[in-house]
This record gives sequence, structure tokens and C-alpha cells, in this order.
Amino acid sequence: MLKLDTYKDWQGNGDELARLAGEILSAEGLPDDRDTLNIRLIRDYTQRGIIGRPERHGKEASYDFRHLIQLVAARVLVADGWPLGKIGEHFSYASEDDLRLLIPSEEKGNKALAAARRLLREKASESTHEQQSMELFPQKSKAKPHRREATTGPTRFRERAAHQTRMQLELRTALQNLGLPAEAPAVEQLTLIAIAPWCQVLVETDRLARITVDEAEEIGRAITASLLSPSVRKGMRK
Amino acid sequence: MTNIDLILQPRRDAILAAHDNSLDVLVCAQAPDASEHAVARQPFNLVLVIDRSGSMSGQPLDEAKRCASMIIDGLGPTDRLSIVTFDDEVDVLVAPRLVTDRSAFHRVVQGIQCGGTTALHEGWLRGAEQAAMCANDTTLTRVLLLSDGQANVGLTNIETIAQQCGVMASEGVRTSTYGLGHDFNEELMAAMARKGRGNAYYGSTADDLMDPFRQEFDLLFSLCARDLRAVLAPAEGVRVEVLNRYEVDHDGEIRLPDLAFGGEAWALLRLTVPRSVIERTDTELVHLLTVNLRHRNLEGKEEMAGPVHLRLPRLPAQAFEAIVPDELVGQRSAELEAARLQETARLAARRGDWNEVEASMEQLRSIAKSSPWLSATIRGLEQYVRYRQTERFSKEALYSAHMMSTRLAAKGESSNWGYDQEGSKASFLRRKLEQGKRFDRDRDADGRPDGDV
Repeated sequence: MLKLDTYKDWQGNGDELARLAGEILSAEGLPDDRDTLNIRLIRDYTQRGIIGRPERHGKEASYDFRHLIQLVAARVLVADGWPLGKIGEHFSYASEDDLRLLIPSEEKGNKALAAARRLLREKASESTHEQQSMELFPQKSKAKPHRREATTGPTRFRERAAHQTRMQLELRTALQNLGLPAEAPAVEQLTLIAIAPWCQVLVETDRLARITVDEAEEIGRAITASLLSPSVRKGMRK
Repeated sequence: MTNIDLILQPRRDAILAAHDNSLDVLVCAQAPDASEHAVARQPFNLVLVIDRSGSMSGQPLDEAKRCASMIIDGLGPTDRLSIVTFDDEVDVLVAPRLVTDRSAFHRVVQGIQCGGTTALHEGWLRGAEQAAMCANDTTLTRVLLLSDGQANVGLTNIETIAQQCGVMASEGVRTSTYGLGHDFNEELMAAMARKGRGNAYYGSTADDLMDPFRQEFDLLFSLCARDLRAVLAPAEGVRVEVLNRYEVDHDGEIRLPDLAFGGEAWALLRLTVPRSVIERTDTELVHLLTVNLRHRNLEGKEEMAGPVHLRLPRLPAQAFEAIVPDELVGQRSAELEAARLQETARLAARRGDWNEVEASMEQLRSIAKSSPWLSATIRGLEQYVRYRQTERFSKEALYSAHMMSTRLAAKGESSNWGYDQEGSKASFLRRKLEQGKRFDRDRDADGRPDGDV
């Protein structure tokens, strides 16, 4: 069985987490940084969102297997030259299985497992591509993702991050060209009102809370006029 | 050392002098009889991957649970089992664990509930990962995938999924597939098993599902050699074509099915021997082919059988024609031709070209005249053609063709066919009439297919 699985039910405090992660990294032939691993580092990683917040029992923080996986995976990536900011960014949406895929030592000496994990990484990578294109460019969400050769976990992770960074740059340029703030796209909360199965109205949610009777009647008349407008109907048929 | 007999049997025991020759040669790898060997079997490392999508609700899931229970009951404390289920999400219900407490596995199986859509690829892949965790040379590692549907979530491309099954098989994790009903994607399930070096089965109804599970389980219990590869070395100028639908490795080795006690793995070769090859030989016998067989024994160690050589006399036309063709080679040749025609008919049915289907069936009837088994098999297929049941015909034709082309035969198999005769054989050596029906249901068939006519 995998060594990490033997810690599936593990729980402990911050010092124990640091010590155990160090032992696993060392025993598995991964970067030996037991001198760096301590409670301060764990608190720092928690602040950065790399490690999830521990449960508290009084003053004592309690960590479990997921925290252990997060810490081990993070140290693997740090050794691979990966900045902490990016690790935190990616760990925030990574499942436990995703994180385990980043720990190459789990596959050491087991070619079958290495093959299965490689296929899972390919799958995860393609899902990420699909997810990203759905989030940013909904109209392209059905496009078949580009298929590339599989590489090791951390390398694939870097590729994924690089891909995301490139897309964010493209997004900033696109927003500037549209005359919108470059930092981020405009986000608005909308409420969809389905008046009929074939007729829906979108209203700004915060404005909806403040709408007056006169405004509502005015909008009703405008909708009626619009629906009956020959130019609108003609426009729909072109 | 596993005592496998490697035999070469040509259609005729000679070649025609002063002519180009085309010659069919049967290569047989025969296992010892079970009674001769009281050998401890290898530990199993099995993963059950069960589709729990909405369409499985009711009897299909109940039957799947019954099959899973049968497997659990057949395993011992040295075997490992993992259970994975999938709908649109995949759950590893039990990671690979020694079967020391069967009741714990039974409880997990009984708790499986139906859900949503069919993430077949991810379900299989997670199953393969579980299997890989404990895969090694001394265990029989296999993923048993059961589904009644189409892969409609995640990766769905047949070629890519099958290629991944091949990758895992080359690392010792094989895949067998079990289709259920008439809505599953038979091309996907068959391709996964073929590339995954496992077995492909289907059950027409939930009631037919236990038979293939039993078949595979009996086979695993009776294995005496695996990873069989026939290494062919034709004489210079001789061309060899493999007529079975076996995978051929990059280095030209033919992958034969795993061999069980009392069984015979076989391949039919078509040798093209140019006249120049025959005339350049001074000796009485013309050397045509050398075959070796590589395989792994029950301890996972590489062994080899052979070499065996094919050397035949060249005879003038009259003497050559006087030689009685070998009956077994003729039978196997007919089976492979029947497999080819069933595949042609299947593709035509998928196109809706029933005229071509009828034409292929006509040819099948002609080929089957000399074989009671083939004749009876084709009668079953004809029922589906008569009522234009595309899905049923397509599935039965595909699995029947696959079985005829890759089946493990019983040693000394007779050309005769009868229920009692077949029923006395190990389940994995029986020649069934319908692949989608349990063996004893064939006997009850009243000649008209049930269901949507």
C-alpha cells in the first residue's frame, strides 16, 4: 500500500504536522527540509491559503490528513521553483486527489500506478482547460481541448499555471480594448425573472430591491411596446 | 515449469510443387489437464467498477450486486478487492483490501444506490488506479467494469479510452468489460477489453449477467499461463498473415489469450509461399516457419515453449490433391470467416443496409453447413435480422465475432455440438449459441427473440 495512505486517519498539532511532513519528504527521497518545516511555516502557509485552516480544540490547533497532503505537496512544488502565491491560488480549488497527483514519490517503483496517475493527470489537465475556457469564454466551452504529452505532476502544474497566467493577460488586454477597468471584468449580480417560459427579464439585483411601483409600471409599458415594435420583430427575423 | 505443448498443424501436410502456395496453418498452445497439476493459484487483485447511473436502477443493479457478491464469496484472505462505483461522479467505496472479512465487502455492495449520468472513463480510470496500487508480477490484477450505458460524461472517445486500457494492460492492469442490456456502447466496451487484454462479455438481461462473471471467475481460477506471445519466424520469402483478431506487438509477437488448464489457445496463420522459395530448397522437406511461445507462469516468471518448425514435402498436383485436408484447421478457418462476415453484417446493420446484412447472412449459412455450432449460432442471429433489431443484432454479432476469433478452445474439441457436451466443459471453454444469454437459456429459446420487435 502507499505510504501516505497509512496516515489516512492521522490527526495532530502543528509541530507534529511539520515533523511528519518532514519525515515523509525525507523517507520518500523528496527534498529534505526538516529544518525549514516548523509551526511558523505552517501558519504562514495557512495565511496564504496553501494549507486549510485547522480545527480548534480550545487553544490547540488540530490538523489532519488533508493538511498533511497539502503541506507535502506544497513543499514538493516549492522545491520545484514554484512561487507560494501561485501554489495558494491553485490549492484553493484542488481536491485531495488533485494534490496527491502532485506527489511523484507515491508512484516510485510502481510502474502501473505511475501510468494510472499519468492518465489521471492528463484528465485533470484537460478538465482544467475546459473549465477555464468555460469560465472565460463561454461561447467556446464546447471546443475540444488541445491534447499534449503528459509530463510529471509539478511540471504539469507549472504548465497549467502558465496557461492561466497567459489567459489572464489576454483578458486584461481585452478589457482595456473594451474601455473597461483592466484589473478585472465588471461583475454584477442579476436576477432573472421568467415572465413566461419564452420570456425572461434580467434586472440588477440591488436595483430590484429598490424599484418603485411607478418604475415597475413604466418598465411594463416599455416591454409591451418593445414586444410589439415592428422594428424589433423585423430585427429578430434578419 | 509449465508444460505447454506447442503444435503446428497445416491444412494439408504438403505443399504443391512448382506453384505459388497459400497455406493455412493452425498454431495451438495446449495446456496440461487440470488433474495433472495441483498448483496453487496466484492471488487476485481485483477491482469491481460498477455503473450506478440512473438506468441501472432496479433489477440491473440488483443483479450487479449479486454478481459482486459471487465474486466476494469466491475470494480468499490472500486476495485483494477494491470496489468503485460511478455515475456522474466516481466513488472509491473500498480501496484495495485483503478479503479477510467478506461480510464487510457485502455490506458495501448492498449499500450501492443509483444516481445520475455515466462517467464511464473516469470510473474505469479510478478503478485502474486502485488496481495499480497493489499490482505486481505475482498477482492477477484485473479491473472488471460493468455498465449498461454510454459514456456521456468526461472522456468519451473510444480510441483514446481503449488506448489507455492498453497502457494499463502493458503495466499489468488488465480490463474486462461487462455490458448489460441493449443500450450500452458495445464498440467501446469491446475495444476496452481488447486493448486492455481482458475479456469482453455482455448480458442481454440482468438475468444473463451472472454467466459471464462466472465464466471469467472460473477462468481466473484455472489459469496456468498468461501473457502468451507467439513469436513467428517465417523462412525467407514466406509471408505470414494472422487471421485471428489478436493484438500484434511492435516486435511482431502475437498476443494469444491467457491459457487455462485443459484449454488450448490458438491462432490461424495464412502462409504465402512463392514458387521461388519451394524451388530454391534442395532437401526433401521445405522449411516454411519456426514458432516459439513466450509466456509467464503462475509465479510471474518468463518461460518459453518451442521452437517448433514447419517443414513440408513438396508434391506434384495429383499427390497433393489426394491429401485429406485437416478437419480442425478447416473448422477454425470457418469460424474466422464467420467472424469476419458477422462484423461486415454488423456494420451494415448500423448503416441500416439490411440488404447487405441479408447477403452476409446468406454467406454465413453457406460456411456454417459443416459446423452444427456455427449453424445454430447463425439461426439465433437470423431472428434479430428478421425483426430488424439493430441494437440486439449489432451487439450479438460483435460479441459472437469477437469470441469466435479469440476464444480459448477445449483440447480435443469435437466438431459436433450439443448442450450436454458443452455443459460438461469448464464454463470458459463452452461454445455458447448466444453471447448475451446465459448458457442454459439457449436451451429454452423458442426461436423468437423477446422484447421490442
